[in-house]
Formats: sequence, structure tokens, C-alpha cells
Amino acid sequence: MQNVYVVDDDEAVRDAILELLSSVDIEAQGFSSANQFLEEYTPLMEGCLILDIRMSGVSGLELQQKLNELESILSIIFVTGHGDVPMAVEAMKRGAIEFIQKPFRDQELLDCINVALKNSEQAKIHRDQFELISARLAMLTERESDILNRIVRGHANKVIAIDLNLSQRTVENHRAHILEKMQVRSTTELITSVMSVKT
Amino acid sequence: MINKQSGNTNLQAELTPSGFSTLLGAAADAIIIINSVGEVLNFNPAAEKLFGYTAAEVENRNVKMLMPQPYRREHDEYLNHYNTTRVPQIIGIGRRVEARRKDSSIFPIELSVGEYLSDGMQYFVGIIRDLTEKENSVNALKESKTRLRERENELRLTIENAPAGILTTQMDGRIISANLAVCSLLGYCESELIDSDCANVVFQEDLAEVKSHQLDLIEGKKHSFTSSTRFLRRDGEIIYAILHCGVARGEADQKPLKLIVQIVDRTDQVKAENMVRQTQESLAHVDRISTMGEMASRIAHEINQPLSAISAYVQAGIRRLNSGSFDKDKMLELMSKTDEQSQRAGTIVKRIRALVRSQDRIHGRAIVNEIVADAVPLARADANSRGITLAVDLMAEQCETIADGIQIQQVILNLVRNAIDATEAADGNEPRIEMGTRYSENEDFVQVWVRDYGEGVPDEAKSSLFEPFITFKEKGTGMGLSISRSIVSAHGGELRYENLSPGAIFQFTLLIAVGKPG
Repeated sequence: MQNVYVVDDDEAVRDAILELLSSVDIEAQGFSSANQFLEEYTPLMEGCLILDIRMSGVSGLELQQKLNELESILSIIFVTGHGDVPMAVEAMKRGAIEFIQKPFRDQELLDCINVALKNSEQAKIHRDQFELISARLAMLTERESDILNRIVRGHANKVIAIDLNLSQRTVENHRAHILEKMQVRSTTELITSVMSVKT
Repeated sequence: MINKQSGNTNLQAELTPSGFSTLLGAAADAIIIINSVGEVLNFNPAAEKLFGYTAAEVENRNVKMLMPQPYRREHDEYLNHYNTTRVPQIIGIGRRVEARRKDSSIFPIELSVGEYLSDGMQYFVGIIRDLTEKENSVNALKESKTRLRERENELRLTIENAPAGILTTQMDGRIISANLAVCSLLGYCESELIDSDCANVVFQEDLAEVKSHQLDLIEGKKHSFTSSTRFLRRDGEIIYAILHCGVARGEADQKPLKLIVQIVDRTDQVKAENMVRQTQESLAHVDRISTMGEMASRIAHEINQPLSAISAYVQAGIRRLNSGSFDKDKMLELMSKTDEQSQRAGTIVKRIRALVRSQDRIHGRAIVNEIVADAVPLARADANSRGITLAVDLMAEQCETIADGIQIQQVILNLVRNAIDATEAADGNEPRIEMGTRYSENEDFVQVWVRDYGEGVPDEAKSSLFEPFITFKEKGTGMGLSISRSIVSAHGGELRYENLSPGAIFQFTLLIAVGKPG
């Protein structure tokens, strides 16, 4: 379930953003500091985080970094002021895409939220996928993992058989098991899904 | 026996011989009787004592043996002259002459001579009074008079040439004397000054004060006064001086006689001080401007906050209105929140305006806590932007002070900025600054303090911490603490610091305007 979170240490600004969101029926949750947000944070949180880049205590940038470390799928919208260009550049280097400069137009914010929610959704899908493939990879035997690595590297069955001192037939059997366990239909599909996890 | 030759004199006719002899013996003055050729017939005991001769040594010898030259040489001639002309030179007159003792020492005497005839013989009686003591005391008097004259002269020269101006006036201010320094200071010669009213040379604006002091002296309310007084020189230039004035009184009746005025020229000093003050003021202004530069972005941020909130509240309201489904209470809430934020923005603008303004300083009565509280938002924005928290602890008492609030806030902001720098320099220490006000019972001042948790003031900075142009920071101007201290002292307070562990506390005092805090 997607949510909108607002972290701003200025009570009025935070309240005003919540009011604006409320006027378009988005019930967002407000936090007065990065720490307060981190206390309630769970990896299950998805949606967008409207985050003031300049705050006392833990700053917006630091919260972004922390969430990156926690592999959060929340999409961050940075709220910046006029003089915050260097900070915004820093935030972009760390992967933030959405910025909104105070004071902002309501539509601008809502558009940002829409984009952010989509990004978060994508991130969630990506993470789910990742978890799914990881789980499937975990089901492979040691021999199957070894053979999968060689397949991904583009080795032919014959080469793998010679390298592992197996019959070509045995290798073909393993490959079939791998495709089955990984729930893919072709070698191409197999390689695509494994690569998506590795990058 | 007076006359051994005749043995029969007029004196003897009137006095018995023993009576006469007793008279001569008892006389306090030396008495010598001689005949017409100068032979000593009688030499009384007082004479013996005075001259050191016994009567036997002198009697029947010429009296001139008792005289130094030239009398000794000329005495016979005196007698001859008188005997032939009868024109008295000394007889019946008496005069100061010199006499000679047995030991040859010469001494002053007053000699009166009388004559008498007895049996056709002529005799002279000399009565001698020793003048040694009298003349000594006269000489001493003469000497002390000379010394007095010398001292007077010395005193006159001293006063005349004293480096400070010295002026004496009548009690009403008419000038009696003026020394060289006064004349060169004021550009008049002494004769021009004498008898003129000293009010003529006092700068108009300071005249009333001087007159009032003068009146106090005349009425005996005080014995002297010192004032900072300006004089007007002949060429129109203003002389800044310190005036010390006292009264000379009659020794007996203590009646005020005249005023003694000392004038110390401070013009150069005052000019130099003015220049320093002007420089410092303009530097303070520069420092304030550069502070402004640094703070501009923070202030922009500060004012952007309410603007953002206003914008969002209004847009929320518009959206609700457009949707058609809104309730009155919600709309009122949004509008009053909007209003609140407009007020907040307005307050910030006012504060900035006050901070930038360099003229029209207002020295007024203000509550210390309010002055400090007004500086807090800027200080906090400053600290927060560097990730530092600022805790404020204001005293409960609402003490009033007389101050230029803006200047005091400048001091506070400066101390907070220093605290921020100290906190950042001490990486890893607690990023926290505390500030506040403090009042202790029975004190006539309040303390305003700022504390950080940095490394404290380093030893090498301690001695010159408040010196201008000396900085221990990479980007410091070296003016902050120097200006802060001069602002605080101009308000009658004191700026001090103390190293704590960890960090340092900087605190200054502000005088409480009246009585107890309430």
C-alpha cells in the first residue's frame, strides 16, 4: 500500500503540505525530524517521502543516505530553498530525481508525488523481482549453481561437460532442472533474470 | 672714683662715692667715662664683660684701644675737633659704630655719648649697647626676605612656564593672571586676558556648566571641581580641555579670594579618540554588512518558510473550494493559519530591516529577554543550517535595561557564530549550543550567555582574543569580539569568557534599568 510521508522540521510548512495533500484526498503522515521518521521506518514502507533538504539535527541529505543504506523503496521528493543548489546537486548524485523548490505550486507538488509514487512502485516491483529470483537461486544445488554461472558466461553444454568431467547428457539434464527451478522457458530468459539480480 | 686727679666732681656732689660706684656697677649697659684727651677714667663691670678687659687694663689708657680702625686712628682728632669747635658729631646723638674686644674681634655697638663739666674739667660718658644679637636677627630677617623673594621668583617662573595652563580669576570670573600656556592655548597675550571675563573664552555650549560649578564654589558647596570643558580660541578653533578649578581663601577668615584654574589641553587626544571611534563604527558597519552577506541565504530560507506555508494553505483552500465539498470550519482554519504565517513573515522582515539599519540607533528601555528572544530565530537558523541545535534558557525575571537592542543582538549573533565555528572545528563533540539570560538576586545587572561544546579558547588565542584584526579562524575578520566588547562596554557592561570542559561560555552583563525585576 503506497503512502505519502512528509518530513519537515518547520511545523507550519509541514502542516501546510499536509493540508494541501488532504485537499486532494491524500492522507499523508507528518514527521518533525529525520530521527522521528527513522524510528517508525520499516522496509515495508512504500510510496513517497516529501523531505526538507535543510533541517536541524539529521539533515534531509543524511536521511536519504540512511534510507539508501537500508535499501528503502521509498521515492524521495526533496523540498529545497533558494540557496540550496549545492545540497540539491549532492542529493542528485545519490540518486534523488524529484526536487521541488519552495514556495511551490500545488500542481507541481502533486505531479511530483505522482512521479514519485510510480518510481516507488517500480522500485517495489524491482525489489519483489529481486527477492523472487534470489529465492529461486537459493533453491539451486551447488552443481546447478556452478553450471548456471557457466551458462551465464556463455559456455556451451559441451564445454561445460568437458570442464566438469561430466557427460553432455548430464549437463543437459541439469540445465533443464535449472530452467524449471528458475521458472523460465528459455536460456535467454534465464540469463536476463539472473543478470537483473546481479546488477 | 671718677676723677682721680680732682677727686671732686658734680656727680660726687649729688651721689655718695659708693652710691655712684654702685650705679655704674649695676648698670646693664657698658659705661665708660673718659676725660677730654680720651683717657679712660672709669670702666664699669658690664664694660669689662663686653670687651674682655679688666678695668685695670683699660683705666688711664686712651679709649681708642677699644676701637677698630679707622676710629682708633681718628678718635683723637674727633676729640680735638669737638674741643675747639664745640660742634657735636656724636654727643647727645648716639650712633652705630664698631668696637674691638681684647681678643681683637670686632662687634657692632650703639654708642651714646654725654658730656659734663666738673671743676672746669670736661668729661665724656659713653654708654655702649651690644648690637651683635640685634644685628644678627636683622640680618636673618633680611636673609629670609631675600629667600622669600627668590622663592616668589621661582614660583612665578614655574607658573609662568608650566606646561599646563594656569589662570587665576576673581570670584566673579574676571581674569587676574594667565600663564604662557594659557596664552598660547587661547591665542591671546596676557594683557588682553587680564580683567576680561573668562566666560568670553569658554565655548558657548559649556558655559552654563562652568557657571554652575563656579556658583557652587562661591557658595562654598564645594572646594574644587573638574570638568571637561571646551574653549574657543581666538582663531575660532575649539579647544578640548580638562578644567581643574579651586578656590584660594583668606588664611584668617576663610573668605574666598580668587579662583585658581588649571587647563589641560586634550584637543589632540579627543581628535584621535574621535577618529578611532569613527573607524570602529565604520568597521562595525562593514562587519555587520559581511555578516549580512553570510546570513542572506539563511534569511532567505527563513522567510521562505512562512511563504511556502502560506502558498500551500491557500492552494489547499482553493482546491477545497473548487471541489465544492468543503466545510466552513476547515476553510476558517486554513485562512487563520495563512494569516499566522503572514505575520511570521512580517516579523522576520522587520527584524532584517532593523539588522541592516546602521543609523537611527535607538537607545531605549527594553526588556532583556525580548532583545535576546528577537535574536534567537536568526541565531537558530544560523546554527541549524550547520546541523547544530540551539537551546535557549531565558530567566523568569523580566529585567529592563537601557540599550540599543540591535547592537546587543549583533553581539549575541556574533557570539553564536563563534560558538558555531568552535563546534564545527571540534569535530565529534556534541553539536549543541546553549544560550540564555541569567539574573542573581541583589545584583544590578543581568548576564547574557552563549555556551558551546567545542574545544574552548586555545591558549595561544587567550591574550589577544579581544584585540582587533587578530583572528584564529580561517575566514575571520578579527573584528567580531573586539566590536562586541566595545559595544558591551559602551552599554556599561562587561564581556568575558570562561573555558569549560568541554567548550567555552561567553557572557556579558547588561545593567538593569531600575530597581527590582518585576
